[in-house]
Amino acid sequence: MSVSETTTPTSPPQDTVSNWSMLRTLGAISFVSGILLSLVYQVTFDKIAANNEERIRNTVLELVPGSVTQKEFTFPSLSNPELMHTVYAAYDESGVFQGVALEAVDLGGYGGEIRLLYGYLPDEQQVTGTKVLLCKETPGLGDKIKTDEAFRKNFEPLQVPLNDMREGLLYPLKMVKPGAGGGPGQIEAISGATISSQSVVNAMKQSTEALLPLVQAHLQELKEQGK
Amino acid sequence: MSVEKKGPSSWDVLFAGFWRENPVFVMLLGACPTLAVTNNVINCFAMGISVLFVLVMSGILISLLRNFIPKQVRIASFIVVIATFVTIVDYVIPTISLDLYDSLGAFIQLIVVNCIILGRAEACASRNGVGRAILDAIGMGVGFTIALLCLGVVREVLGNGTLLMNTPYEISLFGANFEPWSIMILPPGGFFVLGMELLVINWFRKRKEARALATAKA
Repeated sequence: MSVSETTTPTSPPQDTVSNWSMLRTLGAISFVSGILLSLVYQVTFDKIAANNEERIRNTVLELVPGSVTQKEFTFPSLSNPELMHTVYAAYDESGVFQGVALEAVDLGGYGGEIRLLYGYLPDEQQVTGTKVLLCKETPGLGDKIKTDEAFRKNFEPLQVPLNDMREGLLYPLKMVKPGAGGGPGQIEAISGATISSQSVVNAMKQSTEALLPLVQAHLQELKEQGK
Repeated sequence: MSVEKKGPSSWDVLFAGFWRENPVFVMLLGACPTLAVTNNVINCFAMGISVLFVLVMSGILISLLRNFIPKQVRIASFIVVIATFVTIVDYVIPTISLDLYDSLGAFIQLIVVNCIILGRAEACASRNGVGRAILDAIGMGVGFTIALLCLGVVREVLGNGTLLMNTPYEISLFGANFEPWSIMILPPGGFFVLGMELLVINWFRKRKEARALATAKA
């Protein structure tokens, strides 16, 4: 453990010899470990990708009722063509379009990033429910966003009609105090977990405003792709 | 702490890490992952096994290479070897379970700088043959796992009322009316439990020493 005690002072006369051997040793070790790592990376790459895909697929199928298969689409954002958005479309066994699952992210949670997926039925214009993918909130307080029944009921279902311009929501999502909600677009917070609730609402607000018009614009394409 | 070549027998080398020289409870090394990931039992297992793997593999390699590595660059070489095996673990865990990987977070990568591993490389593997290095690594790795489990079981039982949560074998211990002590799952709980366990262990050790002294005098 005591590194400094056992380190022998370097002796200047042998420097040229030992420099080469030091370089050689470090180079050889790094070379071998590089090869080893690239091998392990290749072996595990497919399995990790498959695991990631399976996790998303299971969530998508859970969020869109009646679906058995899902497909991933990427569309350029309506406001900024550089930005790509991912849309997971879900179909039943005969390939009939059921709905989509969309991702919502907010960095303002109590423990940092909160990432969730929510189901959306374009024909009914409603959100079917949410599923938290990543949550670092305080156990027992903030992580109630995953389990709290009343909070989840806010989104099961939540009517999200588009406005007349079809470029945003008619009733933008808004957080209200517990018990004070009920109006269109109002989400009741969890008492004692206001910051986490706000973060979920922010994520949903931002995502619904950007993605729902996008889904509606590409609806025909999504419906045809299942066949 | 250093194991002399002619000193203890192989069994002593193996079992030293389990209890007498336990890395967490006696040497107080690796306290960062110990406090951070022990909030449930399955994390403790995963962390313990990962450290065990890295310890054994880097122990073998460093012990084999010990005569080729110049003294001046040995720490750098050890770190490269250790980092290689840690990265392998980092690739392998998400193939087993993504949820496990998420809950261990950055602490898998941080095994690289875990002083237990560098400490054993420096104190044992770089001065002993392969056999002894492996025994020492297994001993220390198992000792670390035991220590993590000692914390993890207490924290999960009190903090969540379960054992083996997030696995198919989850056992609920106290029924539905149990109010979990959230503090136990949070970082302060780690300090509390580690402190309590150190207190108990040191109390026993003091008492044992006192008795040995008393019998020696008599």
